[in-house]
This record gives sequence, C-alpha cells and structure tokens, in this order.
Amino acid sequence: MGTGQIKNDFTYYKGFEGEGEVTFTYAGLCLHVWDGYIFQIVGKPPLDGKGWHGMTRDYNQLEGPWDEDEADVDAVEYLQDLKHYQGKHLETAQAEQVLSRLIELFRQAAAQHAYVHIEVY
Amino acid sequence: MPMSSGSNSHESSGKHETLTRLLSAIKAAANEERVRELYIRNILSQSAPIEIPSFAKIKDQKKNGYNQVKYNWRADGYKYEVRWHTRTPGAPITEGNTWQVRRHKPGVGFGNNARPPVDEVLVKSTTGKKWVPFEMWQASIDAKTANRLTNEQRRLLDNGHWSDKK
Repeated sequence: MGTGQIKNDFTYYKGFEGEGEVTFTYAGLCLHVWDGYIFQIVGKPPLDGKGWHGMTRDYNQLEGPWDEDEADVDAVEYLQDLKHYQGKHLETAQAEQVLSRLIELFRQAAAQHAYVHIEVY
Repeated sequence: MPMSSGSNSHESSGKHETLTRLLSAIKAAANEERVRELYIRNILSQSAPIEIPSFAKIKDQKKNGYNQVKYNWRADGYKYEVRWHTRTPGAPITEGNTWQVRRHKPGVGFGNNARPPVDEVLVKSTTGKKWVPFEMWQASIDAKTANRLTNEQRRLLDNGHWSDKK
C-alpha cells in the first residue's frame, strides 16, 4: 500500500452513520460500507458442509477482521469467494453495487499479490 | 574561536524551557487520555443496556461528525458488541447519545454439523428485553434510509436504539 494520503469513499455508508461500518483500504482508497450490505452479500452462507472461504468464512465464523476488529486479508482468497456471489440476486441493488466495488478492489490487490486492510467498527 | 559562554547559557536555557513545556504538554495529553479511558471503562459503560464486563476490549473513535465507543467481549459462545455514539449528523436534534447491542455466535461451514451463525440485536420489549435477528434489524435500517419504513420496523428501530440516560 502506498504511503500517500488516503481517499475516503463514503458512498455506501452515507445515511447509515451510527450503524455498523466496515472499511476496505487498498492503494490509497478507503471504501466505507454499511455492514448491512456485507450481511446482504455474505450473511446467508451455504450449509452444504463444504466449508466457507474468504469473506464468507471470516464474517460467519468471526475470524480475521471480524474477530480482531481489523486485519490484512489475502486479496486472492477474498476475490475468489466474492466472485461466487456475482450474478446472484441480492436483497438490494446497493448491495449488488457494493459487491461489484469490492470485486474490483480485490481484483486490483490480487493482481499485485497484495493484502487489503479491513477494519470493522 | 569559542563562542561566549553567556550566549551558550542563554540558548541552553531557552531550549530547556521549550523541552519542559513540551514534556508538560505530553504529560497532560497522556493524563487526559488516561482519564478518558477510565471514564469509558468505569462510568460510560454503566449506562449501557447490558452489563459490560471489565475485561471488554474498547475502541474509542472520532468518526465523521460524531464520536463512537465500541466494547466487545466473548462469553457463552457469543461475541458481544456494544456500541455507544453521540448524535449523528442529520439526526433529529432531540436524539441524544445512543447505545446499540449486538451478539454473534459463529456458524460452522464444514462437515455434517454445518449451521448458520447467530446474529442478533437487543431490543426493548413488553417483558423487558429480547434478542431479534440482525436480518430484521438491517432490513429496517435499509427501509428507513429508503423512506419506506413500516410502523413495525419503526418500533423495532426505536426499541433497539437505547438512550444513555437511565
């Protein structure tokens, strides 16, 4: 991650002040997301017994940033997991937009074999 | 050629004064931080809708236009998360400081005993307090933001935002 100033994007948190928030920081961008949108994306995981990965695992098993409040996560693993939700109907159009933004952010980080910093507020 | 000892002494005294002032400011800031930490742990926590144990982890933050303090701890298989915040930007002027309480029990993704996580919010009820699924809570928050809140959802949100005035 660069050492320059971080640009904050509140598009998916504006209007939700006081509610749960998750931030994703990579390459000078910090994306602020209402945690309800994260729930709408990964909060109803499959129960086929095959195990969960990436954000689905960390969110639903309280691991990584959802255990320690913040952590650097493996972009490749998160990207692979998030791609499973592409094309699936989510509860709101905004959650679908958040999914697209996250996939783009993790795609960029994965291309650099980098980590993304996640903080849960 | 050596400098005059008078000039050296004057310069040295000035530096000493600056360092002393700096040190005092650092001590005052550290003291202020310590006082706030004690206030958050021992006084603010007393106004929460559930008991916050002394070992809870605390995160004190200045957010975009308001302050937030988050306490979390694990007990009985759950991770409890209790958040306090000051009035948020755009909230009615009558809205004061608010508590929200949430608890999670991790799910199991692998094997024959796979099960979903439990994710609940504490709300006031006619019998005192009750836990409701976070799914209902987030749908109500979403409806509020989109101006399509039903009366039932409004009641849920009113009952899940706890005042810090007892």
